[in-house]
Amino acid sequence: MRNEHFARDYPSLARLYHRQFELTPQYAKGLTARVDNSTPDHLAMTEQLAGWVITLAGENLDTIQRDYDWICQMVLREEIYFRRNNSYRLKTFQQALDEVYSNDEYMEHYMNGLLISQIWWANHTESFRFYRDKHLGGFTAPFDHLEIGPGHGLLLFLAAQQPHCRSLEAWDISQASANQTRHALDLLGLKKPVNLRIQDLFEAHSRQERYDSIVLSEVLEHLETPREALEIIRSLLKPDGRLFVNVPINSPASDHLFLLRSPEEAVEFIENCGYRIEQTQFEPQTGMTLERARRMQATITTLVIAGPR
Amino acid sequence: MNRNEVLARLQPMFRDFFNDDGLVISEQTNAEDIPDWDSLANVNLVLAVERELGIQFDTEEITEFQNVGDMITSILGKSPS
Repeated sequence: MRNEHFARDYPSLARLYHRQFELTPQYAKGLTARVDNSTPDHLAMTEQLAGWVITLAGENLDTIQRDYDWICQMVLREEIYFRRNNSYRLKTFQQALDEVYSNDEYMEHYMNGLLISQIWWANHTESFRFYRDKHLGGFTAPFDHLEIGPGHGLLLFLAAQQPHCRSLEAWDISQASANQTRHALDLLGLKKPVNLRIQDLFEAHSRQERYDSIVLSEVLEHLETPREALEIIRSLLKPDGRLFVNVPINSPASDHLFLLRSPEEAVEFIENCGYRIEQTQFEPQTGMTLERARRMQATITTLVIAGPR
Repeated sequence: MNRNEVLARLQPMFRDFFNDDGLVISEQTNAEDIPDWDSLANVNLVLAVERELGIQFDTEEITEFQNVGDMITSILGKSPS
């Protein structure tokens, strides 16, 4: 809850909060509710993320905060299509490549918006907490860690901070994205070495390495063949290894292809790809209870920890 | 239809959508006045209005509605499809 100590207890969050009000006042109602309805534990996680976002943004913080409006408008347009047609707009990776991934200016807005969404979208923030406490916290012995599609590098950075983390690796299909991740990790001051590879998951069958921990966060929904991806990942896990999946259901965006309609469908899908489900958590979109999100077929971030069967 | 007639058509739709039999809307009613009127509810509400009235709003219009009055203005500018 915000009170007279808000700025003292959560200085980075308070800075982002007040500036977001100035830059995008049209979201004041949602932002206020977002902060006022959060528990102290959730706010503590948000504060940590806010500090990292400020570090990553540097001089570009205003630009990044303005792109909150960009991403909200993009999602809203896709939401209208989704509700009218009962499907995501794009169907193939090639379409996403042509419309989104090959458009540098578009991608800059998108990445900026995604970064600030980690603060303002409660389901995004909460997924960090689950990942830190339940996935990373579940390793009690040295573990070798792989993330596929590390993006801004925040999950990788959290993994690096775990005392039991023995090695860190991340795969991306784009050199530009990998460079951005490297730059982000440098800005955050990561000291541990990270092996950042240009590696297509779908060409990883022959790799010999096996991992204790694999992370696939907000990737499945971008794929045409998510089953094949999960089956390949299964082969990359050690027998007692653990996979962390973050996949949103009913989550229209300009590059989302794979539509899951309920958290249970998502969990069952993973299970049917050869996994034993260890733990799940369902986080509704900001401002909604899980019950209301289900009723309105709204976005629910589905978090799963699973091991190979 | 004139503005008052459109408002009268919208009234029961709003009550039904927000599940509030006591809800009374005016042209000035906006998202600040109804706790559950968030961006997703707005999309679903507008699409429900489309179905009921047999019209279709432009995507850009939907994102720009500030209050019920804006919606009425847009409805009056359309012929049933």
